[in-house]
Amino acid sequence: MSYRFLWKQIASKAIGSAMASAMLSINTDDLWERMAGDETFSKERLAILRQEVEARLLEVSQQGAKERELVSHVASELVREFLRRGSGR
Amino acid sequence: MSSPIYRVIKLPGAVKKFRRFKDIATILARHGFADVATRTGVGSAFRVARKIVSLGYWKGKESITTGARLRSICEELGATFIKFGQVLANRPDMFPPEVIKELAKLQDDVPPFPFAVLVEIVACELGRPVTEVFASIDEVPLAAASIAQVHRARLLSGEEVVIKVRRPGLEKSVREDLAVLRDIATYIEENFEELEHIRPCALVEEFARTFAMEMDLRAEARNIDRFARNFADEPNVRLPKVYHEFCNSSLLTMEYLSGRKVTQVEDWSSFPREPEEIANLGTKLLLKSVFEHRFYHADPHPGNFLVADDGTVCLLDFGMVGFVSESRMEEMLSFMVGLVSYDAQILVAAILEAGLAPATLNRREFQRDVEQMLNQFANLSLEDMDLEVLFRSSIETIYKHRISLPADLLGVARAISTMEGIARQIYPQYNPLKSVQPYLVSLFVKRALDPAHQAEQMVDGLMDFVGLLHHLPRDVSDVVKRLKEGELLLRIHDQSAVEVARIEARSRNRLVGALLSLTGLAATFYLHAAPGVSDWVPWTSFSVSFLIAIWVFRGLRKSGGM
Repeated sequence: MSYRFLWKQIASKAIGSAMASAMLSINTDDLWERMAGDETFSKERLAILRQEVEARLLEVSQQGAKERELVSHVASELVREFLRRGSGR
Repeated sequence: MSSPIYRVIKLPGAVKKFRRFKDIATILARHGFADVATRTGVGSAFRVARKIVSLGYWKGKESITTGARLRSICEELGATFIKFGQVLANRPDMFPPEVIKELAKLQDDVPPFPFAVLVEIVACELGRPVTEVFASIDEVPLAAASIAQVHRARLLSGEEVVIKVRRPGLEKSVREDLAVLRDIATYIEENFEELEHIRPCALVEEFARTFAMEMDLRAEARNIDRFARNFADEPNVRLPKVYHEFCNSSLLTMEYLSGRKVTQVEDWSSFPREPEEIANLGTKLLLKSVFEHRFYHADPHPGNFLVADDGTVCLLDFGMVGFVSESRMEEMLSFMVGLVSYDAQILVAAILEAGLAPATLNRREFQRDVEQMLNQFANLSLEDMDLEVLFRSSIETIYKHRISLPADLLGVARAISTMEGIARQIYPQYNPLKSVQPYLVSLFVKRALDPAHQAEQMVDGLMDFVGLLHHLPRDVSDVVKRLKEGELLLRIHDQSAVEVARIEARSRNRLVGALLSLTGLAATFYLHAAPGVSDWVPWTSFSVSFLIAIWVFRGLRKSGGM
């Protein structure tokens, strides 16, 4: 497996997981309500769609949790190292 | 002035191809396309077109439309051209509606080949006598098409099966016809600027690829297996079981599924399902296979859908299937959502992203036309909505602006609109938008809100950008270095310069020809007078010089130099 592919996998999962948790934490009631009421979606259909979307968000958030942790750890280490060297000068 | 078509005929097989070109020229001229035959040089090369026109064969047929004549030409040229015509019928972005309508009528029903030949082929493919595998084979075929013939049979183990046998000699004739089609496409691409948007070579290559797949019955067996896996959790769908031990590229043995054509059921009361349910099921299956499995039945005509006594839908004939790539799926979804939601912006963006727009496209005018087209439908209620009309109108708008869409996108659009037609035949009150629109919009929303998908795209873009940054300093330094050393090479393709070079080369050849001819004539007189030289030597020299002189004079006359 090439390093490029490996990094792509890790970065995608980490970013996806971070995005999913962020989306889960915000209140989207208004957004869903605005979508209801036209001919395309009945309330029941929209409720099912919302359920499916939220389930997927939860799934992605959990699936990439380890990668997110790894990337945030690497990033914080890099920042700390950068600050340490900077303050040493 | 375009060069004659025989200049692009490639070896090997040039002699056979010449013969086929002669057939094509004859048929073209007979159907009123003598001008095309003459323009391509085929007619003048074989003196066919003019002869047929002079015989007046074409008189009295002027009222027949171009589309109808094209259809007749395909029918007369045989199986490959019929198939090619059917493929062109799926390109409403390239040809006017009246031509599409006629080409869509092309049927590849052909007379069956003899049963004795079939038995011989089956035995040869199995490598043993048919009686060692089959208890019986029906002599009357269930269907006979241009690629294969289908017979009902029974295995020695007692299972009812269907055998599909490829026509004898098909591969050879198709190979020859494809070679001719490739030459014609090359010629058109090089000489007919007005047909540039059709991209003939790409069209023929795409056709050759799908046709080759359709001819290989092993591919069909694999397609059935893949469909069966994709719909394994769908209890209302049945696919025939494939007997791989009795299959190869020319023979396919699969389970016999009994049922009635969905459009031929008159009394639904004997079935455990309502017609509306079957109509919805058909649409659902197609949408699911396109947008979720990205592998779909590309020929969903009524004959390929049977409804069994228990109400399950049986799918048949997997020779023509479509594959959808991940990136194309995105474009297709946007295209379909833009269409069924009457959103001009989404639709225009999807078309321009997926299609090949000409450099001269006026984007604002195109957007305005799309908006106008969608406005006609936006005010209709779902009940009055007709998906096929909506497709047709959008394709007409695309055609007007000379944008060519990818074949797979049009294939999906055609499959969905065919399925709508079938569903309406089963259940006249059926409203496709009621099921298609929510499905597509839901999928669009789900994909737009799928963080895994978005993150992947983001990382892809980021990695491309990093790759670009990584190579940029080296590339820039390379260009600067070449510039300094005076080694930077710029290639500019100027069509007029190419034409001038071609004319120059032709003139040069004629000059050399004239000199050769004169030298030959001088040599003739010298050899004639010289003692001890046989008579045939000066005569040969004279004949060769004379022929070269004729060639030079003909060239000069054609170019208007005399």
